[in-house]
Parts: sequence; structure tokens; C-alpha cells
Amino acid sequence: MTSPQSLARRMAIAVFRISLRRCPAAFRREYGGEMQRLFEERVQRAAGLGLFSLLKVAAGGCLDVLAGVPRARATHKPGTLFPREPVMTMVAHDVRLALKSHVRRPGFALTVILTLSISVGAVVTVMALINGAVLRPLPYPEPGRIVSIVEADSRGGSSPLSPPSLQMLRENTRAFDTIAGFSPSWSLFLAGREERVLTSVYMSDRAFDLFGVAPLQGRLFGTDEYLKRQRVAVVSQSLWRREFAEEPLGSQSISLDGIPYTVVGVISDSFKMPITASEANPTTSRAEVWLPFSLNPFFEAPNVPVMHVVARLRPDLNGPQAEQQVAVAATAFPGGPSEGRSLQVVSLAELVSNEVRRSLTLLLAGVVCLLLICAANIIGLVVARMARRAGELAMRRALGASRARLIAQLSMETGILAVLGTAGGVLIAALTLGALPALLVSGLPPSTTLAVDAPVVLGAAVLALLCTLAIGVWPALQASRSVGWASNQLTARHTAGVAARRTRKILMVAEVALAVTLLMGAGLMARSFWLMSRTDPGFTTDGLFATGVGFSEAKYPTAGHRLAFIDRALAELAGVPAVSSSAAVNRLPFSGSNVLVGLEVEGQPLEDGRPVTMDRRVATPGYFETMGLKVLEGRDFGIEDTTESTDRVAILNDAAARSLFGESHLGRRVRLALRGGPGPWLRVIGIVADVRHHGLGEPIAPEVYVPYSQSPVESMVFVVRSASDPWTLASPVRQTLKRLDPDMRVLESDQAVVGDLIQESVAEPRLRAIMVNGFAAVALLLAAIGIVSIVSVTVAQERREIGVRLALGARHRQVARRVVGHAMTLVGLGAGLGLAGGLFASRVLEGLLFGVSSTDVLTISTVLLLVSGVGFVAAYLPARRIISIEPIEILRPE
Amino acid sequence: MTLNPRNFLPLTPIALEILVALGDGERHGYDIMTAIERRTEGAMSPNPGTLYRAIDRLAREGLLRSSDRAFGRNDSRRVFRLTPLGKQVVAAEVARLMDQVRAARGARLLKKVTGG
Repeated sequence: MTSPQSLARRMAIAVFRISLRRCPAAFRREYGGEMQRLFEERVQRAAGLGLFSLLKVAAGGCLDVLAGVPRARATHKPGTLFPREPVMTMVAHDVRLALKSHVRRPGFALTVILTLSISVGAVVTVMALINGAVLRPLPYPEPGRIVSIVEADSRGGSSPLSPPSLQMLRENTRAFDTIAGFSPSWSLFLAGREERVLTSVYMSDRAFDLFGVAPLQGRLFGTDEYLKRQRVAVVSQSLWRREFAEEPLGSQSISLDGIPYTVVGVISDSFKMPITASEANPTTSRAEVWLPFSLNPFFEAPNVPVMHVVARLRPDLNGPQAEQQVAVAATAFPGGPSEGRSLQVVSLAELVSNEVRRSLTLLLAGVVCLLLICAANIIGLVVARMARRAGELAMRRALGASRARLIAQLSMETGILAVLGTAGGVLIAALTLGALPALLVSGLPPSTTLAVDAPVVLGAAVLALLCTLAIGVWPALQASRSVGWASNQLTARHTAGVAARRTRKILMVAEVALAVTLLMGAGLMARSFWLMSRTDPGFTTDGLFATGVGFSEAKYPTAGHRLAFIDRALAELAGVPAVSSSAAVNRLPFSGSNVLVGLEVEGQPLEDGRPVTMDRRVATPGYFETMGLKVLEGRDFGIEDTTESTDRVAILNDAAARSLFGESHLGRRVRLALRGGPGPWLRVIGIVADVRHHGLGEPIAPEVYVPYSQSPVESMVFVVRSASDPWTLASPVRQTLKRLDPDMRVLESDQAVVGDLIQESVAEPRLRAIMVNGFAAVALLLAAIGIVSIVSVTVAQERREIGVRLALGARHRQVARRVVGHAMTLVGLGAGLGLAGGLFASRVLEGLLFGVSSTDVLTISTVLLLVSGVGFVAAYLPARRIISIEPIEILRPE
Repeated sequence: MTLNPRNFLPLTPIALEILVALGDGERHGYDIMTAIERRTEGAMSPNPGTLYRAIDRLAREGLLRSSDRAFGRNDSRRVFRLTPLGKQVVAAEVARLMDQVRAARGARLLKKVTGG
């Protein structure tokens, strides 16, 4: 019987037997013998028809068995002692069980729900802020196509364009359907006895069209009004309601900066200008008045960057293509950008949110880190709880509960807490967002809309899902896996202990790593703020008090009138008791306002035909002395510098002098590009020390000072110095000025202690530093709590092992040292990971730092020391309990 | 609780063949296979895996019952026979199929079918 056929037959039978082994045992026991017999009979029969038939039948039979294995397994599942229940019934049952167990011991459940609610609430709130301020499209038709054209410098900064650029772009580019411009400004609004500052916006023609604005009442501006200076205004719905009780428009007028404007139209409050928070007036944040651009003082100035140019891209073009056209147009235009600067096309949405994007991202990173640490702590608790229940789980498994069933039930127990916690978080976020705009409005662009909408809900849902998976399902998987291999309760408890210990180690490392990352960021921010607040502003702030005044055109029509008032006021102020010196300037440092001017040096050719841009200050004699500014060379302005004197003069700050001349400054002549063209030549008579006009963290700008007597501008700020508390000067200064002119506008809001202004200027970095440090402190605390709880659980679960060691002669202290040592290894590992994470994350911070590098050794080593110290204490406290362990007690059989 | 035979419908082709093959008394596996082959003129020749999985399912559902029967001196084989429920289910399934045949004929889809 060694013919090929008989060999094939025997092999086929062997293969069939092997195939049969894949079937479930119960099925095999019942039918295996019969199946094999049937197979043999079929093969035998086929052998008579030839080898090919035999092989065909054999292969078909084997494959048929193998193909049916999954189905056979499905019907012969082990442990299906009880009939399967419908899924929903089981879920409902699990939910009931879970709720019951939590109601019985509410402490654990409440802790988890509360912790999660708060941290998820924080994350969702920040997500909504980012969504509202950064991600949500601007509220204009086809917002994706609206771009802004800015002049960018090589350092990544950007500025608006000069008003004449608008016409240049319109004539030389074909990339846009519409190009328009606007310029936000502040105006002093006078209504009845009320005086307040509001945000006004100069609009070019087509600007309203571009933003899709239609008047609610009346009309928008006509072509003439855009080009010729006509005093007309469009007001917001809320201003219309407040001032005119929504009466139909007739000949109503409003007074801005003492000048009447005819109100021609009203637009809805739902229209929000695309301006950043810092451009809007902090007290109102929203534009309330619109004026035609022709009224802007720099309407024809070729070099003053005040116009925000916005454009609607043609649908068939993208940003880079448009930018190419713009760049070509810029070179063709004589007043184009100077060396190192170029025109760029950027998304308007990006531009508006740029200011807050980084702060919000930072905030999000902070709250997410906190959430992660909270979650890690909760997971630690859950894992410990499940490890204690390992015996019970093993018993249930042995009684026929499938692993899936156990996982489902355990997940439900903690998953339900995660769901409740995240739901609570969303609720907290919704409540917070309702209260937030009032609190945070000054930091967000006015076009922001805060709401819990679809993207936020989606984000919250993803967050909820992740939390549920991490807190509910993951520990359940761990617990059930270890139980799966255990044959009895004792080994179950042991293997569960091993798995739980591994999990706890991972959690501890993660918590420490997150805390270190946050602490590094916090340390850098704190150090950077500390350095910034210690930066010398360039002048002495002690006892310095400022009061702003504005001249109305009606009462002070000429320079002589204004000059006379200032002279008399300064003379009177000098007589006020406690005033040691007084002077006036047009723009006070740290006031947030500035005047830019083009400057040309005699004998030096213009670069690209454009003068250098610098800050212009108009000051009275004695200003430098009052401010405590050193005159480095030459002299201060004096009474001899008058309108009549043929010799016009100027003083430069150190930065300007160095950038313009290098050596020998005095006696050189410069002239300023003024509204009506180049001004007269000014002789440089002095050099003064630099002032950080724009903020402690900002670079020093070149400045040119001119005497008030030769440039009597319309608004000035009096500065007075006293040896006592500067606030005591508020009332006497105000009274003195009012006595000279009862109608003079002296605003309480324009009175300020200069030292306070500096404090306010660092308020944002301070807030950021406080915020990040607050997060970091909480993170450190949470991580410490995590370490304490993890080490306590470890000590509790290793009692037996510890008892054995003690019984074998180990000293308490040795054992405790070992436990603390293990914990510290994990802390070290976490710190290492956190350090890497921190170094990576601090690159994001770089732009927010001042005077400190993102890899500052002092900060990093302080953080590492702090974390090791806290980690050691947190590990040592629970480890102390080992001292109380008596080996005899532990080793007594259970 | 009486089980409604309709709850088991429709049957798979192999299940129906097995039940029909058992219509005239008990048979063992090989017997069932050859009965199906005969009836279908070789068009259907179930492999052992397919056959016994179907038998297993029918047995679990209570449509057939198995027992061991001695064949010759040392040989015993597992034989199967219909339960009363199995008979009802076959009848219900055949009635359902007949109804479908009638419907197909009414729709003139079975032109050449002669009566019987």
C-alpha cells in the first residue's frame, strides 16, 4: 500500500485531524470522530476517480473545517453558563451597580468628579477662548478671502501702511477684488456733562463694503466725504440709543475732541471691527464711531504708518500669488518699503488674533498639564482600588464571567465618574464663559465671540472620551488582564499587585515630568518678569505725577493762545506747595501713545528717498530735569528758543544720535517730514539719555524732541514732581488748571502717577507670570500628593515583603531607605523627562521672555532642586510608617 | 412555552437538505451526505465540516436529536432523527418556499415550469 494515492490519502487524513484540532473542544468531542470518518469515506470514494479528485476532495474538506472554525467557536464559547443577555440590559445593570457602589462610598466618587470637573472646566474654557478669539472665522462675508497687507521687517514685526499706499496698491495690483483701509483711534467724546474716551475708526472708501456693512439708519459716507474733509460720522447702534434715544436721524451731531460732527448713519452693534485688543480703547473695547479717512490727520502723509490695509482676494488667487503682485507693485512705487522691509499679505484673522494667540496657547498648555496630572492622580487611586479587589475579580472570573464582562463592569464603575466629571466641567466652562467677557475683554480682540458652540462641544466630547478611556477603561483592562492568568485568589492578588505597581510607577514618572515641565515654564516667566520689572525706565519715577489737557479749537484757535496757557500753567504749578519742578510733554512715556515722524539729516542722502522714522516728543524747558533725564551733551531747551527766533532747535536721544551720526552730534541739522511737507531745518542742541517709552520689555526707540514754543500742539501732558506722595498733587494740579480756564478739559482718567503707569505696563507679563506660576504650584502640589499616595500604597502592599526583610534582620531604617530610594529613582526619571519636555516647550515661550534664555541654567537647576526636595519629602512621609511595622504581626498567617 | 416553527425560518439550504434527508427515518452522517448527493444528483456534496456544523446547530435548536446506534459487532455510529418540532419546521419552510414559487409564477418568472 505505498501507491501515491494511498500516501496522499494518509496525508490528507493527517491534515484533516490537525485541522479538526482548531475546532472548539466541545464540538470536537461531539462530532470529531464522525467527521473524520465521513472525511475518510469521501476521500476513499474520490481515490477511485484518480489522484486529482482525491486531492480536490481532501483540500476542500480541510479548508471547510478551518473556514468554519470561527463560527464553531462562537457557538461553543466557554463559560456561557447563563444565556446571553441583550447588551442594553447589561449596560443598564452595570450602571445601576456602579451608582450603588458609589452612593455607598461617596468620598471617592466626589473627589474624582470634583477634581475632573474643575480641571476639565478649565480646559474647555480655554478651548472656547481660543475658538472664539483665534479659530472662529471673522464675522464678515467670505472671511477666508479677507487679507491684510502689512509692512514686515526682518525681525518678524509688522506695521500698517501709510495712507497713500492704498492708492498705490489699487493702481498696481490685480490680485484683489477690493482694497480698502482703516485706522483705529481714540477720541474724546463729549455728551452733556459726560466726557469719555471712545474708540473711533477712520474708514477709507469701500471699507464698509468689504466688511459687508449696511446702515441700520441713514447712510454710510459718500465719495465726496471720503476724499474731502467733511465732518460727518457714522455711530454704533448703542451710541445712537444712548445719545439720541433711537430717534430717526435728522441733524443730530456729536462732539469728538471738541469738534462737532454730523451723524449721517447708524450701524448695528453686531458689526465688530477687526482690530486687536491693544488698538481698541480698554474701557469700551468696541468701536463706536466711524469717520471718513479724509479726516485722519495723516491722510496725505506719505510716511506715517497708520492705515490698516485690508483686501478681498480674487477667488482664483492665493496669498503667495497676491504677495508677489504686491511686491512688484511696491518696487514700482517711490514711497515703497525701505531696505529690510517688505510688503506682506497675511490673513486678517491671523493678524487680529496674533496678540493673544501665544498667551492663550500658554494658558491651554498650563490647564492641559494640570488636567493630565489630575487624571494621573485619579488613575493612581483607581488602580489601587482595583488591585485591592483582585481576589473578588478572580472569583468572578472563575464563576464564568468573561474578561470582556469584567472589563465592561469595572470600566462602568469609574467611567461613570469620568463622564459625570467631564459633564460637570462643561457646565463649569459654560458658566465661566458667561461671566468671562467682562473680566477678560481687554485682552481679547473685539471681534471675539465667546460661546460653547460645535467645535468646543466636539473638543469637550473628545476630552470626555479620553478621560473615560484613561480613568475608566485603562485600569479595568490592567486589572482584568492580571486576573485572567490567575488560578486562585492569592495569585490573583499577587499578579494584580505586580501590574498595579508597574502602573503606579508609570503614573509617578508622568506626574513628576509634567510638574517639572510646568515649573520650568513658570520659573522662566517669573525670572523674566523679575528682570523686566528691575529694568531702568531711563528716568526717576518717584513722586512724578501727570495730568493731560486738550485744547479745544474754538477757545484756542492759534498757537499763541496755546503757548500762553502752557506758560501761565507752568508758572502757577511751580507755585503749588510740594511741587519741586514741573514741565509738559505731548506724549508721556508708558502712556501707550506715540507720535511717529520722518526725519532727514542735512547732508545725508535719503535712503530709498524716504526719511528715517522716529518718535517725536514736544517738550517744554525743564522737562528733562523734571523727569530726571540726564542731558548727556549740549543743553536743554530754554526760554530763548521761541517761535520768533530764527534758530529752530531739536534734541535727540542717545539712540537716535548714535544711529544717525555716530560721532559729533551737536550743531548738525535735521528736519522733520510734517503733514504739509518737510519742516524747517532744526539745529541739534543737545543729546539726552534714552527712555523706554514703549515699555520695560520693549527696545529703546530713537526719539527727537522739539520745544513746545516752536511746535505748539493741541494736547499736552503736565508732569510735576513732588517729594511726597504724588497722588496728593491730583487735586491741587486740577484746581490750578481749572482756575486758569474753567472750560479746560482736565480728565480724571488722564491724571496718573507715572510709577503706576509703569506698573500697569508690566501688568500683562506679571499676570502671565502669576498665572503660569499658579499652575506650576498646583501641579507641584498635585504631584506631591500623587507621590505620597503612591508610596503609601506601595508600603501598604509590600507590608509582607517588608515584614520578611525585617524578620531576616534588616533594620527599619534600611528598609525605609530602600523605599524612598526607589521613589527617588522614579522622581529622577520623571524630572529627566520633564526637563526634556520643558526644554522643548520653552522654545514656545521664547518670544515672551525678557533678558533670560529659554535654557537658563539657574532656573533649570532651581526647578530640579525644588522637585527633588518636594519629591523626597513626599516619599519620606509615608515611608516613615515602616518604622511602626512589627514583623511578627505581619507574618502571622492571614 | 411552545416554540413557533416560523421562528426558525428561513432555513439555510444545507439545513433544509439535512432535515429532508431525515424525513424517512434516522440516518448517520455519511448516510445523510449520500442522501443529499442522490437527491441533488451530485450538485451538492457537503464536506464534513459544513455538514456537522449544520447538524450541531439544528441539534442545539432542538430540530433533530442524536443517539448512538450499533452497526455490526464492534461498530457504533452517531445517528440523527427529526424531532416533532423539526418536522413542523420543515413543513413550514416548504410551505414558505411553495408560496414563493407561486409568487414567482404569478409574476411570470417561471414560464416553462410544468405543473407538479
